[in-house]
Amino acid sequence: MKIKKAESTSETIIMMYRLLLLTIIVLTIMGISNMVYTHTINVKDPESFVLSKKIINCIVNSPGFQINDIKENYNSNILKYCNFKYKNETEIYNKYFIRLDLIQEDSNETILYGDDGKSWVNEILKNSPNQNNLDSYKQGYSNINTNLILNQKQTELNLEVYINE
Amino acid sequence: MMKNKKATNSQEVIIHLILIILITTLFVLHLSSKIDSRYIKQQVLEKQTALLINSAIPGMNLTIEKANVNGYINEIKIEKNKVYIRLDGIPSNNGYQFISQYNVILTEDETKTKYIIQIK
Repeated sequence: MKIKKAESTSETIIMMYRLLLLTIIVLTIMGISNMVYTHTINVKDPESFVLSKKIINCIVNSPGFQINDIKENYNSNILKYCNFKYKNETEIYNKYFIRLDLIQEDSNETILYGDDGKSWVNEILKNSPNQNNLDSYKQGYSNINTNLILNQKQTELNLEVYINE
Repeated sequence: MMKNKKATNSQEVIIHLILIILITTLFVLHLSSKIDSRYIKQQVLEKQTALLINSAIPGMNLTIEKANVNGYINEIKIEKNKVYIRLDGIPSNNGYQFISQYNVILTEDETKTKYIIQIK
């Protein structure tokens, strides 16, 4: 009788372990499927292009635009200079990377703003001999290179915008 | 003794079968909810709206019909520069961030059939 009781107790304990193991397996499968089957629609490319155009419009429409003014008074934050509305500067800093080069006859000025964590990708793209093969990795990146007249001077403008998240 | 053992074995098999069926059902239900097109449509609508706000200029009014091609919009919220759209009863958890130089004002139409996003 005693042996039977002991047997049934041990079976119950084994069953509990099995159930626990099964639960862990189910949770793991669900966790993995959660990551694998999440369909994300990426709109970072048009987003970066729209932002680039708005920044260029802002530069063109600012009378007496000076890059040093942004560096000194806006902590290189061109979005703040262009009066973009946002709640939190850290969020913006982490989401965007903006590089603006203004090349004039007598000067060459650059400002960088945002998380440049992915700028190394751009360097690879620029220096790679097979850059056509790497083109598909440029999600959320726009590069506008144009000539304009700024403060009565012929200026070459190069604007790069990355959207990180 | 032999009969008892057989009974215990068949009981175990039945319990295992029930567990396997339960787990499979749970897994299939979870997957079907993940690949439910309504989530994708909600995402599409949120991102389209955010992009429209991004590229809009002052004076523009963006009209979004509640009975949309993507489903029925229960609610649109604009909070902390993010658009949240509740579509077919599915609440939006993360929303989508937009960035604009102008004031974005959300109103509902008098007939309560559409939302109007005003850029000022």
